[in-house]
Amino acid sequence: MRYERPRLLDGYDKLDGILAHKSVAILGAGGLGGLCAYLLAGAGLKSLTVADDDTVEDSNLHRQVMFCADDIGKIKSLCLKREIGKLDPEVQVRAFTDRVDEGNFADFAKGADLVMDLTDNVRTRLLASRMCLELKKDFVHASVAAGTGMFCAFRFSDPAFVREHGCYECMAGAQAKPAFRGITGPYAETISAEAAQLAMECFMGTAPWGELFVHDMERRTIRRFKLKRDPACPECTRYLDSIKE
Amino acid sequence: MKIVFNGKERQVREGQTLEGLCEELGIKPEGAAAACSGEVVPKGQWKDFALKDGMEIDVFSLVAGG
Repeated sequence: MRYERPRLLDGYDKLDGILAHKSVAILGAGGLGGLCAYLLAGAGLKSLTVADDDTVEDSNLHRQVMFCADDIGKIKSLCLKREIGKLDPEVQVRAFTDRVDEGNFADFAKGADLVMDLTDNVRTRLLASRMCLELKKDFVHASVAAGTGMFCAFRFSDPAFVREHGCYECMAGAQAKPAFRGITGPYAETISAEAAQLAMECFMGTAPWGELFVHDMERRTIRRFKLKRDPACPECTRYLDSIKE
Repeated sequence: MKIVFNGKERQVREGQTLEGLCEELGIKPEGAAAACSGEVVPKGQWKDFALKDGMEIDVFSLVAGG
């Protein structure tokens, strides 16, 4: 009964059955990661790892809809685990309360069929792209601020993908440093929902791998661009060399 | 020569690079991404990416929020 409405859609009739046997690791349990994890659990995903060592602050509550005033001061990943447990007690949620770094990334991503970067931290994002490339884990990135949201899916499990489309670092550069800007709750959650939809498509075989979507809040448009590998990217070169060996 | 920059026609000098144009416009490369005719221009190529007449260039902000 729970999944009868999505099952009415063409191509979605098997979605919950597919998701029941997949595992997703999400970096960030805030404005993007919180709702995204909840939507994926609602869609039938039964195994989730959510990493966030931040605590809930009053200034989060306008956009981080998984938390309430009583959560202020509590660790976000644990609060999110509690909320997903209310939605579906069968979902196995691993709350990863340590800050994810190079040393524990493999543990964080262990068993995941897809890793999602939904953080607000560009250093973690670059690390995630690099580590997912090394571990050959498929990777979804989404970010949002001011009037711009972007999201894309990298099929790092496929060398042909990397050869053509590269990694996040190819697009943004190793020195990427986005400006800190304002954000509204509705817009943050719009992009969170886009990330969840993209993750579902990764498992359905319909994902637009290698396309960067750039959402413009004011114009209400989405532009799409083909990602391209930088032939000089050291991370992609290391990956492609490891395939040859 | 003329290019289309973020949807608007713009005059640029011969030999101008993507990085040079962004510098002129005060756009910091570390905070932006760019595409030419629908394909992302990898950041490492901006410096040598020569603009050509009629090119459609999109430059957009990288965002950090979540």
